[in-house]
Amino acid sequence: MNRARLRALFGPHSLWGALPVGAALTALGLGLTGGGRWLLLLGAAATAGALLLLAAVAEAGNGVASAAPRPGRPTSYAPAHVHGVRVVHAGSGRTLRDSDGRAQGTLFVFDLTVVPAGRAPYRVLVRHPLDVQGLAGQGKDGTPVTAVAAYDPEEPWRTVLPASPPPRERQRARALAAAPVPTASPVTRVGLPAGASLLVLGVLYAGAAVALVRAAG
Amino acid sequence: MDGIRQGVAGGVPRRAGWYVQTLRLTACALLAWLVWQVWHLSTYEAADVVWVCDGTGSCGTDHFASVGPFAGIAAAIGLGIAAARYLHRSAPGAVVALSAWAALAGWQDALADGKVTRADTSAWFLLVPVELPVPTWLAVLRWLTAAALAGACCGAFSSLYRTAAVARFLRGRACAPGTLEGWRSLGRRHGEADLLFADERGVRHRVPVVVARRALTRETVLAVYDPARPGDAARTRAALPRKEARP
Repeated sequence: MNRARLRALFGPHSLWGALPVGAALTALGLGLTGGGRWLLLLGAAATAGALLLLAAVAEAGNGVASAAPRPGRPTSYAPAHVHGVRVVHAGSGRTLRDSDGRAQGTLFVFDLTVVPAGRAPYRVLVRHPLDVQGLAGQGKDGTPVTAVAAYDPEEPWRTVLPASPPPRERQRARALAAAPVPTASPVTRVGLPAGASLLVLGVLYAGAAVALVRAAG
Repeated sequence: MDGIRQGVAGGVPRRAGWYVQTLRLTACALLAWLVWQVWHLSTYEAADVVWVCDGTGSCGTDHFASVGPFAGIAAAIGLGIAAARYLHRSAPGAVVALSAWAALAGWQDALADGKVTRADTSAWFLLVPVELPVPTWLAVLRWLTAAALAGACCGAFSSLYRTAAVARFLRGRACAPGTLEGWRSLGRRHGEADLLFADERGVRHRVPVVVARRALTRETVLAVYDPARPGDAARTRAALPRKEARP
């Protein structure tokens, strides 16, 4: 884990976002180390709420679908085999029977196997509100469909479908259609789970606060 | 026309990893401890609550035990919501049983410590002040605990059946996402339909199954089948997991 990753993980968003977690853990810590009964019960309730929120954040970040790209990071292009396109409700994830897709609050979900140069192919689901690269209308006669995907080379679970890829990448994608589809396992997110930095920082804040309060008497 | 016909990446609901499960279980444990503490306090110190009435019909107190039941109900609801993904339909019964048992334990501890005697009446401010002798409270809470535990067992059986948990985990059946077609009603609560699914080798099967009516609201169901004999209607069921798989 290099310095840039550490800075990204524990950047200003994490420092501010960990304050509520730290407050809840501080209340619990103060209550456990001799504070009143009120403080202990309140701290337990607040900590339980904070843990449930962190669990929801982590689960959302670890889903099968791809994550958004980090702003300001370079992306690499790679051709991808398209297994299928579904139309789902944006909120519930429920598949719609008719794939008209123009209704509000719907998303397209593209099931891809990305074949990057220099790494193993991986499977990913990409969500997008529009039918990028015209994929939903292709493949009716059983011909293989390919697309151009853009991924973050350091974190390949951040894959998107660019709306207008360069012509050279489109040619590479067309050339890929003749190749057999590799069996690839779904890409997994490596490193800390989403939101883990908030938990770590919250524990540090709470430890410091409890130590300060108890030392001050 | 759909354009490209569909593959089902993510059709089977995935279990969350150990980090998420640890967070959730820790939160549930904290809430369970909280529920126990609050209900225990509300009855253990019910005799200590001194009500100060100002003569106009409204009474107040500054003792925590007076709001114990309200805080207890709020904490119990929170625990029920947090534990619902683990306890499914037995969550309400389990939470009520825990609350009643904690209140019962509080009263028994108060009796043991001499804070109340069996001859006292205690006004337990449970939403409205109810004044009953202590033995009556003990009996009420015992019955309530037993009834809630029975309700939790019924809920557990119902959820285990609906999600086919026994078949999946104990009898080695395999799961695959499936869809239902061709509903034929068999009465008010059940119906027969054809379950379409692809087994692990990619062979598609169409098996008639009986499902509850609420399966009609699902886009996909879980096909639970015997991997050795996937097309056998006697060994195949449609299960409804607690929530739909999301993309």
